Amino acid sequence: MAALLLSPTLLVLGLVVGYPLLAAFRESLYRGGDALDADGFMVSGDRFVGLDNYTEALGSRFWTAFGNTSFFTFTTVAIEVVVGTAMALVMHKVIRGRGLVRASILVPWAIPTAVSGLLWRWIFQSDGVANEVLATDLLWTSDRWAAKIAVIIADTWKTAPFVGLLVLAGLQLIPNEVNEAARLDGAGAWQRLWRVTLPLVKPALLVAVLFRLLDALRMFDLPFVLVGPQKGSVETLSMLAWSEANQVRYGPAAAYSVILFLYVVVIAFVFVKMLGADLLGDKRKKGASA
Amino acid sequence: MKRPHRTVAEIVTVLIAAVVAFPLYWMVLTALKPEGEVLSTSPRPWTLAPTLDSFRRVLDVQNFGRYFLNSVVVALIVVFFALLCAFLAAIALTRFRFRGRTVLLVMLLVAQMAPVEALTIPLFFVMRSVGDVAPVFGLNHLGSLVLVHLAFGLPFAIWMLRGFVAAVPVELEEAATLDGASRFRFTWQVLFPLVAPGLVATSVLSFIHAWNDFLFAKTFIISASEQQTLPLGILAFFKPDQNDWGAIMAGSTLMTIPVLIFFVFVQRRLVSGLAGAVKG
Repeated sequence: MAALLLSPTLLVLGLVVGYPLLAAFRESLYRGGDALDADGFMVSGDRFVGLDNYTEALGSRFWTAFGNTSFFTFTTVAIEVVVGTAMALVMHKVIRGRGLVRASILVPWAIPTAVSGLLWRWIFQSDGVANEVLATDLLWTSDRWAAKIAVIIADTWKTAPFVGLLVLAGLQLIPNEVNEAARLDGAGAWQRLWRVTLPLVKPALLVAVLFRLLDALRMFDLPFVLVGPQKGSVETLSMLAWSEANQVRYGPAAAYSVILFLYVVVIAFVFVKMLGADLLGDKRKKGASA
Repeated sequence: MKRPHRTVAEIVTVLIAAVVAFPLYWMVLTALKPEGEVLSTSPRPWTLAPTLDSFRRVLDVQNFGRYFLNSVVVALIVVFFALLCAFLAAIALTRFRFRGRTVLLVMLLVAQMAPVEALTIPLFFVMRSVGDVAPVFGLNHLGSLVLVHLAFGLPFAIWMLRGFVAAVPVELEEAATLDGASRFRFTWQVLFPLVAPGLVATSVLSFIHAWNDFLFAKTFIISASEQQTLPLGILAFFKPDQNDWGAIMAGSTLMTIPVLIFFVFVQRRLVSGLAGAVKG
């Protein structure tokens, strides 16, 4: 019965996620095109090259992309957690015009990434409104650091609301009495925030951070649309793999995909282990009863 | 005591909302400005001569209506199947105990980690083979887009719905069985309405996910231009010499409207829906 209920999901996931992943693993060990073998004969088609794709992949372009991916992930997730939590705390307090305020803060998250990429590209034009408002003359999309900052700003604008949404959902589960009791015990607003509210929304926050980490590590559309492909200053691992594949270098492209996949898995594993995010839900019960 | 706090919170909220809304305002404003003002090197935050010219240029693009419709169709079909598959899977994962259940849950999380964009090329070949068996899901057909978005949205949807299904007490099911309700009837008439908030949240996420796509549309729909989706319609305004920013922003505005409508309708339920997921 359970197998029957799961079959549509497993079928779709196997076809669209499982098989391509395995194909990428296999592809990463092969190289296409013609070459001469040891005896000087022409060999055409796919050749098994072992880990050659990986060793060659670890060049300076890879390390730049790796650095960008890590830098974007940690800065954006950190900023988004702070801003998103602040948004949620404020949204939770507001009584008048609640629906409208919430909707307007959450809207950026609902906007298609391609559209927000375009929108920010327009704002960050050299003669665009960003330079006008800040009274600067920056070339946002070609200057190394300015381009990075532009991506971070655009990403924060778009996804801080997502964190805010999940935290807000967590806040609504805290009974009013808890805060009230802390207040009667003489806890100040600041103390209540750190000692009562934040620990109680921690589970919601951890879920949000985990899913943001998974997304941010695979960041693609936003820098792609905002700055463009093959720009070293903002190229992420996803973009690198994509552009290699686009130039028909499937072997190296697959190697990059596999490395990125493993990187995401490792980060997620470390995150779950370290912060003890109790995601599977039944671990704690087992531990408690044992 | 409480009043001043609340006022401060309200002022801060309005400020945040203003900062957040400014880029959107800029988008709509650019779309409404006459061409000369869009190109001006010292942009003004208002316009005295709003015009729909840019919108007209967008709608004049051949097939724009068709692209729009394609995007809507893909998104709605994805939502429907995502709800169906995720609901069934969530029941299986909470109501049944079987070997490998935990492994399966972890696998779903791992599926969420697959670098989607980096897999475009292997996926391209998968879709080509799928097309040989079932043309509807093959290249140049909207079905291929439905399939990928369904797959990439499902893991999160299942994780979320799992909490909701788990929150419905098993005793309820036992009571229903005692009253003579079949398993199917219980699922449909009791369980389904109870997890409705979760389904709403799931549907929003799937809709936004599918609506977001431009890479797969660009990769899978190669030669059938009547099967293209919205983002590709907007890309037509990028030209080597001079991008038509008025039209790009008008197209972006049009593309944002359906999400907004969908979003405003379900916004309140979304928050309570996610609350259930977080609790689960």
